[in-house]
Amino acid sequence: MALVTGDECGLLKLADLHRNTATRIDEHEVQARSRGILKIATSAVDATTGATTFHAARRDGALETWRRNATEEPFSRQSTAAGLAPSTTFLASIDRGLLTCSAQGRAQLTSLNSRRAGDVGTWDLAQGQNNYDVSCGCVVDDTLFVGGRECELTRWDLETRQPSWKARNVRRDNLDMRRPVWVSAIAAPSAHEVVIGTKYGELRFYDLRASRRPQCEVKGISGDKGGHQECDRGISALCLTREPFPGVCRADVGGDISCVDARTRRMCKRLAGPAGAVWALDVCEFEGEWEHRVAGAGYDRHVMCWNLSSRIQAPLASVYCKQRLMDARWVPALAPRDDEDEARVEEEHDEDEDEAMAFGEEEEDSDGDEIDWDD
Amino acid sequence: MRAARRRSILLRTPSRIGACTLPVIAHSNTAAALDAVDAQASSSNTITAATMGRTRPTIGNKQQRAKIWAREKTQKREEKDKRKEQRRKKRSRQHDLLRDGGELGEGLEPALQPRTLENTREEEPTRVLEGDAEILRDEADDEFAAHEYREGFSGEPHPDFVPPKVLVTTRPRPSKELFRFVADLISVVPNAFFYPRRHFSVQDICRKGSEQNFSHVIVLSERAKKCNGLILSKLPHGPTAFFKVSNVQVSDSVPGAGRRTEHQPEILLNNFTTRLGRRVGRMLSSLFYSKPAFQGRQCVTFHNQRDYIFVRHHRYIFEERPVDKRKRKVIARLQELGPRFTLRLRWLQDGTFDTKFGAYEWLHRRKQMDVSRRKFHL
Repeated sequence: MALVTGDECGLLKLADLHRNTATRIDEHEVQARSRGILKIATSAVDATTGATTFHAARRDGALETWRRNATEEPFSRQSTAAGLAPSTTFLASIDRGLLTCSAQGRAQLTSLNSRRAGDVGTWDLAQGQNNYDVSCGCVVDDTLFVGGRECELTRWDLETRQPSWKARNVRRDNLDMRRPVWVSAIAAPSAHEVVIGTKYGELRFYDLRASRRPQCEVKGISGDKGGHQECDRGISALCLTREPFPGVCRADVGGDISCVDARTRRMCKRLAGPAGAVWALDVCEFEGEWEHRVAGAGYDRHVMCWNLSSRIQAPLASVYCKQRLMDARWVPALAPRDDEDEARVEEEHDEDEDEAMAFGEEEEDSDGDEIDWDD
Repeated sequence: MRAARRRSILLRTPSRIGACTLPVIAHSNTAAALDAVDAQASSSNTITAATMGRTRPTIGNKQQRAKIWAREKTQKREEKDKRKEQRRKKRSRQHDLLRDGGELGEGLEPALQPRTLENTREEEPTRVLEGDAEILRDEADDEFAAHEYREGFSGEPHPDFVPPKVLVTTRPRPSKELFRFVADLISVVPNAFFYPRRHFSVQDICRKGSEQNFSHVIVLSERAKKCNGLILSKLPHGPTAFFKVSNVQVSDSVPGAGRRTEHQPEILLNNFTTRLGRRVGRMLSSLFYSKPAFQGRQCVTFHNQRDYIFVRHHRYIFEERPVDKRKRKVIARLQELGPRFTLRLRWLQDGTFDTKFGAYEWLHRRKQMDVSRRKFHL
């Protein structure tokens, strides 16, 4: 299994967790910070061809689409579109195309199908407000959630392109002071349930059917000095987990990753490894050995993967990617080719023979000693 | 009872006993065999090979036991010294032979290397290999690239080259001792200017510094009249590093310290091998004008050893000294100019100083990172 990573130098890499290697997707890619990757989004795997597609938004406003067939090794660039805002804070692949959102609140829908090029649309999330600063977003079921600095969590209907719900700020604190709003990460299991992380280290659970205020608030946890201490470092990434417990994984700008159980709304696990800010968390949804594993990438230049079912905090695998990473997404493993299968079978056969020779066995003997499990 | 105790001692310390030339004893006859050895030792009152080096006290008298142990230790040391001397003589003979144009029958005796924490260091995956094009391209485009000296076509500095300009300040209400260190720091770092801290926050200072075209801000902190911290921030977009400062010796207290001149010093960066180390090294070297004046023969060294960065300021001097009555030989020596101090990286942050909302590129976590003595990050 592998992850596609994008770094601040504009390089896209494929981090192979089995081989512990990171290879550049395009060897001839121009390396410059002005072309740095801001966000990566993956499309659903094509059911008919098994092709994998991902999209990357760059700092210079380019939006690229890369595609790989089920058995073909390298990704190839399919299209490049320009004209995005240089401060893209959110990128998602939906049925209608690619949805991006800039920090200034400019949402843009770009069609992937050239025949439906007329479907491309732009609208203003700020609705005329000044100093509107969108930090993050999330799409679920034709619904867009956005939030940011002094920008309350808002739900937008993508069909009508109108806001359909807006959160209220939390109640004033003990000193009767207004609490500042700065939403820094959003994850939504459904259109009426949202989890947000703030720059002040709080994790808030919203139920849109019940209230405009959060149902629950969980403070930040750090393990800098050993044990668990409360910490107010800003949350930088969130992801939803299903196994072994339904919950949320949160990462902060100091490199702390912890998991909160959605049933008890309490921290239930802490993950160790990153030395710097973690900008991306992603859960593997593809069947296989790495299913439900959590991967994280960030400023420490490593992609790491953890098993939430295990009691071990250390990462299962860690791949060094040389540059500061801005985003990482799981991509499915390649289906083995016919010639690869044959080669693997031959290798295994050779290994068996070598082992038999090493132990002084002969093929005939090994056949003769074969145990019949039916007896 | 005694036999049982002896057996338990024997079974508890098998490795120590295995080191001496004790005869092989079957498990069932262990006690009997030990009794036989003890009887032999006590009757003859001599130390046998079987009783030497054993942890179990076979000699009842403690003073005798200590004397024998000391004798054995001395004997071992003498043997070791003898082997060492033989190796040294052999190497010396081989070198003489090679110098005279002879050939060695056997290979050159290798010099033994001591085992240290540095040469048994754990493998660091982020170690930068020589000529890694991807990393070199990244460094050519990073925040410090503008301070690397480049010449234009006419021999003048390239228009993109930005000479460093450093703002030095302290914590609010600094002590007299800190001012002495500030004065030394300003003398080492060219184009550095001191501004009193007054009531400004570090963020305000960074903002003002950016407006006035400063390239770096240094903020020194102290505790009990000793400098204990240094914030180094690159303007206008970061990164920012925080170092713990220790062992500060200002120029006046350095024995035999010389006086520095106005020449631009050379910069030596030692052992910054990892990705993080190179970044920190580049950050420190960006404080200095990267075209040294070699005629000044001044040199600022940042020597990284076990993640401690030792900062020294020297002048190298070439002197003619008489070897004998007729011959004279040119030798090089160092003259320390001071100050000397040690830095240890605590965190490296993206952007200018912002401990509340800033994103950390690297954060030292004692409980997680200091589990092994052989793991170094720079």
